[in-house]
Amino acid sequence: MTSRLWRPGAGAFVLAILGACASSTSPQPTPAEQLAAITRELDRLQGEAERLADVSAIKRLQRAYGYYLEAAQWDQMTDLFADSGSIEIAQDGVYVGKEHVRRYLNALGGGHVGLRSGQLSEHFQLQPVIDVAPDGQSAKGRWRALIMSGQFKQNARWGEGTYENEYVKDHGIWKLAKLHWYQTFLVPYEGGWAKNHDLTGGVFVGKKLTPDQPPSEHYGVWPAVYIPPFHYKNPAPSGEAAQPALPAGASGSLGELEKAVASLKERIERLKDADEVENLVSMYGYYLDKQQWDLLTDLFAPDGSMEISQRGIYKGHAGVRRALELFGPQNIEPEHLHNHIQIQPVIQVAADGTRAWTRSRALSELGTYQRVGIWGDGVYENEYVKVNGVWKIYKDHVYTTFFATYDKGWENGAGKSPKASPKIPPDAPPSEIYESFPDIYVPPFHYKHPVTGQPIKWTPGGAP
Amino acid sequence: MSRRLTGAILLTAAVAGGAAWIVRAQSTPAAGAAADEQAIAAAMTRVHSIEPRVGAREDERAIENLQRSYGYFVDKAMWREAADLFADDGTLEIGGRGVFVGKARVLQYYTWLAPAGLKYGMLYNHIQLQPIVTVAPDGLTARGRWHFLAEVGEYQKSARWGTGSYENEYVKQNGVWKIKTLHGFFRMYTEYADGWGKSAVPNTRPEKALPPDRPPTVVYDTYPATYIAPLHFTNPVTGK
Repeated sequence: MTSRLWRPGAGAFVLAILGACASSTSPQPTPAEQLAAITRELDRLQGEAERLADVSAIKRLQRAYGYYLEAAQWDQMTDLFADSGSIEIAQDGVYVGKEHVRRYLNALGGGHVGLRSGQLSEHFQLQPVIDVAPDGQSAKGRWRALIMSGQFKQNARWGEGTYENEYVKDHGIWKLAKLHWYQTFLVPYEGGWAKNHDLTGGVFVGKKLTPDQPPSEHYGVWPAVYIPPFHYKNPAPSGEAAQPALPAGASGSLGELEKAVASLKERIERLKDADEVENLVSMYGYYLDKQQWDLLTDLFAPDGSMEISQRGIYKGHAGVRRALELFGPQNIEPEHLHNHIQIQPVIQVAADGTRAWTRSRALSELGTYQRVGIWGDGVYENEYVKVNGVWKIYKDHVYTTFFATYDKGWENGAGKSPKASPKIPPDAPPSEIYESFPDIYVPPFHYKHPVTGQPIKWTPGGAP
Repeated sequence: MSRRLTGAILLTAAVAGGAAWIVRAQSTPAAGAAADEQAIAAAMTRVHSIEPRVGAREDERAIENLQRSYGYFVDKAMWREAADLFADDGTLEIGGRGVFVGKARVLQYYTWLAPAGLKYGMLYNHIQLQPIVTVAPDGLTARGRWHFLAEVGEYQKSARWGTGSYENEYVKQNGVWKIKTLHGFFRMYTEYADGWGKSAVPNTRPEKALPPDRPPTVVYDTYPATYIAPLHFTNPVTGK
């Protein structure tokens, strides 16, 4: 019996099967029938293993793109594209075909290959949501870039935006079919997003180098607000029947084979679980960015909970939805920034695949144009539960490391962790009492030390 | 034999075995039992041919968890926990201070950097991002490229942004992945008050107070210079 059948909600299905077995007098499958079932299962598992490798290859491709970009290696970047691939950056329009991609990238670099002396071009590639088509020949990915760019003694800029990309597998090799970057902002370091509007209007070289197609969407950059369309919907039950368990209990070499196939299946499913949980962490962040509260609430289990900083615990869908009003209205308004970049997930999946845990973090860029900018950093210790085959957030718990105003930074601008709201009170008080920077607090680790296997311990270094 | 190579050989054997099974299955019922045995062997070979691909993803996940844990430990100066991520003969090289060999020296290096557990008012965030993990065909060693973003400082004294990368080596010992070589390259550190348009902190150099076991493997300047750590991986499309 596989763990997949034991997920919550599938009990009825399992009982039905057991009932059918008990009431019918169907003969034991012959070894040949068992072998045929195993062969079909192996066909399926081979496909699943291939999809797991696809996800890894696509992440490598996109991350390599970032590493080449920060070194201004335009040819290396171009080579990541399919022959018919296209690139669309902000409002520059669409450049189609590998040679036009190459020309566009070189134009972006001002005709210079490699960094100019004193140039900085960090483009962190973060927060993937990867979906591979069932046939394994194409895929889509949502990502974001955090940008630190500039020229020493001349300028420095912070940037941020979202990718919605498409990938294609060409003779077994994943390539970029479509790279599309939606720019949220590119602003001067001095004053950041609180004091500056976007420097570029989303146009870099589009006026000098005519695109093959106009921008596929017209939208405003900071302090305008735009929600890049999502290539995915919230995860939902697939509607497919659960995989029937293979007949078990044979002895000898057939029994050994059954065990080996079952073990392989378990391992593949746990890896799929980890990929799905990573997607879920990323989705959570994208909704939080744009205050898409209903969509975000839907990512929680019906009995899930949310605990943000020292605000207390909000329970169930109604509680979570209520809590989200603490951060502003549904759908972000112009001149507001609510970025919560989801990064660094340590993912653990329970052996039976019904629960999972992450330690992850958010880098937050918050604020209101012409009023205030805030940097924040927090660590999540979250729990997930599989409901009807779909991973949902069971416990969302973020511990604030610091909140600092943009102008003063963490040297002078440390803010306290926000407390329970009298207007929208929590269902329960905070599960742990702590204070954020300049205090030091280490959220307890849900997992054991990866090498020693011992509980992870932190010894405080000292008090003021 | 390497795990991946075994997989390739087994896949070939599986195809051959499967063909034999089909031939046998078409013959007399008396040959049934023997045919079943052949088919079982062929299916088992197929299991072993799929397994390395699954193992590679498990290795990748384990290494990601390892390096991301490293980041969480450095954040809070949990030096004992950080040093325990290394193999016994593991090495550490960060910035320009040289190479420290073995767990004891790694721990010494860290403790010299900042008091274990941090002190009130200290921020030491080292955010680990953008992994490209390449597991060797034998499944026993791996390399990993990472990006880091640093938020460091001391309340009412200092604050800096920093970025850079890691090119690390990992080793699997008794089924557990450990850090074999940790090599952090600084790209840019700047004073928060000024930003990288105005301020650039130079790379570090070997310290008299903390002599390394070996000199730096590479001597380079950080931003505004343009040195970028070599990538261990080849272009995922062209292989160049």
